[in-house]
Amino acid sequence: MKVVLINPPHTAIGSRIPDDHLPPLGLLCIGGPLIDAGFAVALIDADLSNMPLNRIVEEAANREPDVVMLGHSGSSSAHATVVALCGALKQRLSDLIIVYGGVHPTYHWDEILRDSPCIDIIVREEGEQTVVDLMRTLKAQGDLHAVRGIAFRDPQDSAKVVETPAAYMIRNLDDHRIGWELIDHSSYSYWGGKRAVVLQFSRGCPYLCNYCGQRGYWTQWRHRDPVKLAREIGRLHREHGVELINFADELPTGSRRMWRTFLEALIAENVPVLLVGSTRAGDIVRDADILHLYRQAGVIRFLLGIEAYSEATLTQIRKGASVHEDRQAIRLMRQHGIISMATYVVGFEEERDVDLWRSLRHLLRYDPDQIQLLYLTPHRWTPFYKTAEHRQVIQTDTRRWDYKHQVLATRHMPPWRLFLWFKSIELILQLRPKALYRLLGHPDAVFR
Amino acid sequence: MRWYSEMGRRTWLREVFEFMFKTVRVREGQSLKTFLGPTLEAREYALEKANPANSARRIIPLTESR
Repeated sequence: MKVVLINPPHTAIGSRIPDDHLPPLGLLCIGGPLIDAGFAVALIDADLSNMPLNRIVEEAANREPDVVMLGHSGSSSAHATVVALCGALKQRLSDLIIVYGGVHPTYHWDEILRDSPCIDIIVREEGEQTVVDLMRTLKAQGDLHAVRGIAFRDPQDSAKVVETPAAYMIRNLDDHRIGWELIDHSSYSYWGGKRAVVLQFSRGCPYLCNYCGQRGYWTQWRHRDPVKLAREIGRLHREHGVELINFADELPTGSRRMWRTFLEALIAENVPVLLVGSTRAGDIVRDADILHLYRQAGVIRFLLGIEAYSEATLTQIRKGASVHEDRQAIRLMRQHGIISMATYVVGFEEERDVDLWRSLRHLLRYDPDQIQLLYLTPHRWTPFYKTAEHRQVIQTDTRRWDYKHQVLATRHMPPWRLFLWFKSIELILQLRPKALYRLLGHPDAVFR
Repeated sequence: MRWYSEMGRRTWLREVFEFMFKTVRVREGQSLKTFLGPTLEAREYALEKANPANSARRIIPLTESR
């Protein structure tokens, strides 16, 4: 059976502005096991060139697939595009089976199957094993009820939606390989044209931040074999010229012992790759004595979720971090030549001008090298959603629910004034003399 | 830093343009619950942690099966 994987074009500004694009890791993660199970697999990355829907349909039809699988980077904002694309695919290829996976469909499976007849099957949760089980069942024309981790319309009664028991969590992340052969590495870059891939050292996060769905989606923090991962990075560099690894993990540094083993193994590989990713300030402070290994292994930037300045807000969102720790982490990273990027969230219900003024002052004190402001954007599967259910929606185009557009009204401030603060804080942080010095005159050329 | 600054400059200007000329906001919008639906918090944990060899015992409360 032929499977075509489609990465839909993302409407989010982060996908459309840069010239750099990263490979669709989620689709490659299911592509590898499908190839190993003997299925013919092809990938259409429509995000790479912002392909129009009719061309995607044409490209897919040319490959004569039995099954099309779509996913996206965990983003609800891509869902409307996926539905439009699936409708167009079904019009052209009526016998096609369309399978949809990722974070959004995992939680919204019943509504999607009810509202979008063009989508046949939803793969819930991590899909490496599930898609292989599903494809084998489809090939044998077997009973879909026996496949764990999916949802579908009942063949006997299409008005009824069936959810099978949850998939088993993959305990050994090295059991399934990534299907790198599905991409042309020269098409993917980051950090200003450096050939790049996305990887995961770990999945999950043990922390309880109530706005984040990653903890529940992955269910438990797990990691890959650190030495095997270092070898894979070495091979990607030597065979495909990969220069930069973007970690998609929420918390690659979750285990100090395993992260250190990975760093040492990567240093031993002796490949000049740069590493970027996200982590928690607490882990940076914890690893103060081994930050030289971070840098030696190639870590050039870590994103730290600062989110808010007040301890009360940090407690409310159950961030489990402290202002002191955040500042210390940024200072330590600077000492070791690692760029710090801070994310900061605005749009809390009771936010006033004075709060944003204080936010600006605190961010100036934190002194991160890079700043990324985000609008508060709730997801239904997070505990935070319940606390925001009563709030008024001001953006009804869900394609704009990408953290860069205000979606919920705040009580004391019109959108234009919040936007003014948002853009002013970004501008002030990035145009202050210290930031300009780091941009133009920093002694470390890699840093510049 | 230079690459980031270049991206930032382009994104910043595009966002200002979009806000002023392309973004339509609703004045008297629905509540979040009416617009998107009620919370799905009960579905937060997605995977079955139990060992397949011992699958009769479920550790984590999951969504209702249908």
